Amino acid sequence: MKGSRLRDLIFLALCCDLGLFSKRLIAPAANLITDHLRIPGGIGTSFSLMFLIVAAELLPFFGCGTLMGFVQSMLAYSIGMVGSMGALAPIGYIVPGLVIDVVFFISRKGKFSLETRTVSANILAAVSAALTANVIVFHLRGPILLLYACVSMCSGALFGLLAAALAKRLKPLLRGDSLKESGRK
Amino acid sequence: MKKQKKIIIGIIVVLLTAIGILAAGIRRNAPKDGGLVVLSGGKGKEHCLGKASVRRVFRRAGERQGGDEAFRI
Repeated sequence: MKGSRLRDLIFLALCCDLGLFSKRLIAPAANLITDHLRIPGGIGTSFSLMFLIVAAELLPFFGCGTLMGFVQSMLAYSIGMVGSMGALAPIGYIVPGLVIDVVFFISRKGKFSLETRTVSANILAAVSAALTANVIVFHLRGPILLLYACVSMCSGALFGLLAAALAKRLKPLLRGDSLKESGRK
Repeated sequence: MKKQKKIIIGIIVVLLTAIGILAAGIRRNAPKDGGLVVLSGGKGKEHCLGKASVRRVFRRAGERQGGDEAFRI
């Protein structure tokens, strides 16, 4: 965190905002699927967590996900986007951020590909968000809870692949490599 | 690395299969009628709260939370 540049911090803030507002953007499309499956959500959260994953992948320091979750929860408080969790909304944002940090901390020590890192982080973060929401709000049990968790994990895996593709494209831009290359040409 | 990609695809396929089986099971066991339903609150969740398959679950959850609204199926 000490050596982070202004550009990195601006990128983190951008990912926080994108993560928060993309949830609302994708909600009508996600509701089409959750309506059919009759579950309270899971897809929108996975999509919004994708931006946190991209940021945590590109800026590798421990606490990045938790910090972004905290900023998102404060933003949600300030504009009243707390949803059905009410005052407990920060828990729903910080827990997935913490999970992202732990997964990236472990996966960076082993020899895992970019896809494996992002997919595993997004799956675990999405399912932790779903279980947190279930504990705080929904109180689902049995097969419906299992379906809710499966949908979160599946959408987490798909959006994790998308996060890997995004991270691949953004990496040279954020590190300034592309600017150096274009300067050489 | 190729093995890791295969594992990811395998996980997605297994999850999709589980979703299909669970959704079909829930649909089959959905209650046809009866009972008082209490919505557990929270805008935007109406799409699932009112549906037959989760009515039983949300009836309990809604009652516990002192839901916003009650209606009879």
